[in-house]
Amino acid sequence: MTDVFKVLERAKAMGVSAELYSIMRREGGVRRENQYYARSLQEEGYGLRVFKDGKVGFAFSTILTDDLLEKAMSSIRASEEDVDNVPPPPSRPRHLNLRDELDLQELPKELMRTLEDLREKVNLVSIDVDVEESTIKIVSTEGVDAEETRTGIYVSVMANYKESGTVSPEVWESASSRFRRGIDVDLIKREVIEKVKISAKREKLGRKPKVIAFTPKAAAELLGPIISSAINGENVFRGRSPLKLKEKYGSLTVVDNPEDEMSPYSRSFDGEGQQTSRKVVLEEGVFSRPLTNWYWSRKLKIENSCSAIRSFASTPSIGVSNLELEHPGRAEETPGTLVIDQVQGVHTSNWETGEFGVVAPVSWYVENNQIKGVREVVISGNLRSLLEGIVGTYGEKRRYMYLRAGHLVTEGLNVVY
Amino acid sequence: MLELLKRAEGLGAIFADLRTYDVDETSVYVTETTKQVTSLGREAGSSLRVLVNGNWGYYSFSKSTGDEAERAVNSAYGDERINIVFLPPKRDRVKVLPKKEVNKSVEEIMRDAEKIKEAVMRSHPSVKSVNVRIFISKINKGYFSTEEREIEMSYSISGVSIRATAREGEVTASASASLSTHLGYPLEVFDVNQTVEVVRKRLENQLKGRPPRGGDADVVLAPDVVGVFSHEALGHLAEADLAVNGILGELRGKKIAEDFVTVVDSGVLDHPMAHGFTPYDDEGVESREVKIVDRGLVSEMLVDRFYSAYLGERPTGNGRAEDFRSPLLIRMRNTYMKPGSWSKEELLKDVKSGYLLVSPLGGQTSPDGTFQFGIQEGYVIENGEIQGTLRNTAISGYTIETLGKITAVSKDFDVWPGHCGKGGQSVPVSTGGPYIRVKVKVG
Repeated sequence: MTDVFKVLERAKAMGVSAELYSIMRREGGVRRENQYYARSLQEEGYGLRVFKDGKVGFAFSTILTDDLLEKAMSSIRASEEDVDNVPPPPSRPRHLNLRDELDLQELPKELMRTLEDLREKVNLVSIDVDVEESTIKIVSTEGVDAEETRTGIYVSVMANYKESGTVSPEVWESASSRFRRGIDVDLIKREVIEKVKISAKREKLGRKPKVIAFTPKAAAELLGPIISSAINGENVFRGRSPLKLKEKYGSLTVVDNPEDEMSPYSRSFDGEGQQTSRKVVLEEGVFSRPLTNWYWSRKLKIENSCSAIRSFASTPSIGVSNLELEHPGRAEETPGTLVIDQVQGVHTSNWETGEFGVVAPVSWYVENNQIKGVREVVISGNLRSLLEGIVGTYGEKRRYMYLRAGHLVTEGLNVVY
Repeated sequence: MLELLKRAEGLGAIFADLRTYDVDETSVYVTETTKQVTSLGREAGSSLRVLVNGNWGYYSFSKSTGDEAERAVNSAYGDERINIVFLPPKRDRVKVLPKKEVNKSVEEIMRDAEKIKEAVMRSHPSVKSVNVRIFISKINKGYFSTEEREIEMSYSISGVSIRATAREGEVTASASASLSTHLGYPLEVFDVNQTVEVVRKRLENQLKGRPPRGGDADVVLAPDVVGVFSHEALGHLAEADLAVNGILGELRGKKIAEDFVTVVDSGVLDHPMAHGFTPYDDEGVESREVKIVDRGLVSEMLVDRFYSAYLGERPTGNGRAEDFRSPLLIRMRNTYMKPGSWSKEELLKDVKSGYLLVSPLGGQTSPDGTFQFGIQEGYVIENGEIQGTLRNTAISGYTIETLGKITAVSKDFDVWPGHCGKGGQSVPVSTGGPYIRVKVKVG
């Protein structure tokens, strides 16, 4: 065994720049389906990058030993000289408050108990509660010195309607936060009960809807991954984004906000120890800047957005923190609006073109003041036409996973029913 | 190991098992602009599971703290109703020897990835970007239980994946292909030039292709698509944890397709790309073939030890975990539709107006039986002849209805590797099948 500073000292003595990422993680959780699974975890991991003469090497381990440096040095030989392969600059980031005092064993059980009475109202498929605490430390020979402890609570419920041969799609509801006060269990329950009720009786659409509204959850499921890929600096540099810098696509403003302390995707510093801050990526429809890590900011010759993400076992890539969507248009849910609340199949999208074709298992429209569940609708289009087709938003803004939005009202998407 | 189990018993556990996991990973990534070693190292850890007072407790760890049994027992929680299938004592050591030992240096692997990248870039003038990844995982797993089961497995999985993008005017095409095997270094087991040619063809087809007409259509699905359909649309519905709340559990014993439709999941399949290799699952259970649909009849579900007892079904060996930190879930292994007696040509001949769909692009299913997946290689069929190519295509429908609409199954058979996601975990699986003729929604 060794320690992080000895590794850096040895690297320095070899004339090599080095960056060591370490994580200590503890987790507790309970899953309930037909059986309960209670679990706990404690692990640590180390990822070492080395830089020399424009080359970079990497190695990882679950145990910090002296040979980690040798292994990283062995991989440097496979690297190609590149002027942008240089270590990230010195950084001592200021800290957000991202830690709650949580009992990793008891809190999952407490949350599970408060959710279990759902069983009396719906066919409960599963409940998952996970609580974690991670301490991330990044130090480098170049003066990066960042350390932070972050907590996270993740709750999800899946339920459906199942009776006498009729099985509805799964309704999935979730909440996540760094703080206990950020988990609204009653809201999850209300949403699950209401949507299972809607899904219990579904009919085929009789005609193509003129307007589609995506709830905050559906917006997160559909737009979250497609926008994240499109604004990724590597994809922009390599021409793999469907969006072009400085071009205008509708009027939506998209901000990446790592400073939303309630969200478990917030971070004081990124995976390279660099201070994070809010970045406007789409400003009233104009693609103003991509997100980058240090390497891709140098390639693109732009300020680093400090959006590196990583695990100890991989090199830093680029990832969003919290996407916030704002549109100047004010819309409302008119009769006949097809409201989409859940989509499946987003991962089959073409990330380079932004083309998608998704099934909407949970959707409805309002007719004569009654909510009517809708069966088997396929929505297809591409990111550009989706952004350009957004005419406004309505309703309360909510964060699902890493995206915060109101109901997004769109026109012009293809609907197969 | 055994001391930990004994300690758990001493703390009141009526059953305990320990999974150990030690993996050496190497992964290189080459694009038209960069070359990177993205992963190189060793991940080791263990997971102790205890059944105490009718509840599961679990403790996973990368470093021993000496109190693992206490932690596992203290974590136990539930309704005190866990009942599992117990198995007899067994000792076994499974070591899969590759055709040729995988002993490549990182530099050699990087050079191979670079050559593949160059070949893809040269393959078509409109190629703009390419990702090539080669990975090698050397896996050592152990399973030890209070039943005196001691199973050790040692094998490697290696693979190469290629993804490329081509652009002509406003049309962008993207295509991918992957090879993966437990038989050795992928470039020594397969002819990677054929895979490069597959990627080139898919790009060219999409550049020239047109989107399909939306709506129900007669289609011939190729083995790659049939495999993903068998996995995504049917296999997930047969996972007992989903099946008990889904449509397939309700249909057990009922006829849903013609006699020539049989779909199975098996831990071992004699094919170089059957990398859902699971001779024993992560609960130390011997793998067996599970007939999900047997000659058109809904037959068996995929179970772990708990659902084996819950459903009264013989253990199948489907309890899997991605790594030591992940809990066990019911997962597929090698899932495929069994071949029939028609020829591919006979299937095509009878399609007046429809599509031949050759390669999928991921997919998803819901317990109510809806499925959706994308298609990256497809063709237009007119009067039994292939007349043009497709782009931007997806298919969807209801699994049970779709199985009932299969009108022919060919004698061809092929298998493809993939990774399956569930509950935040990813495990290697393979999917396969013959050509089939069926009606689905194309959009």
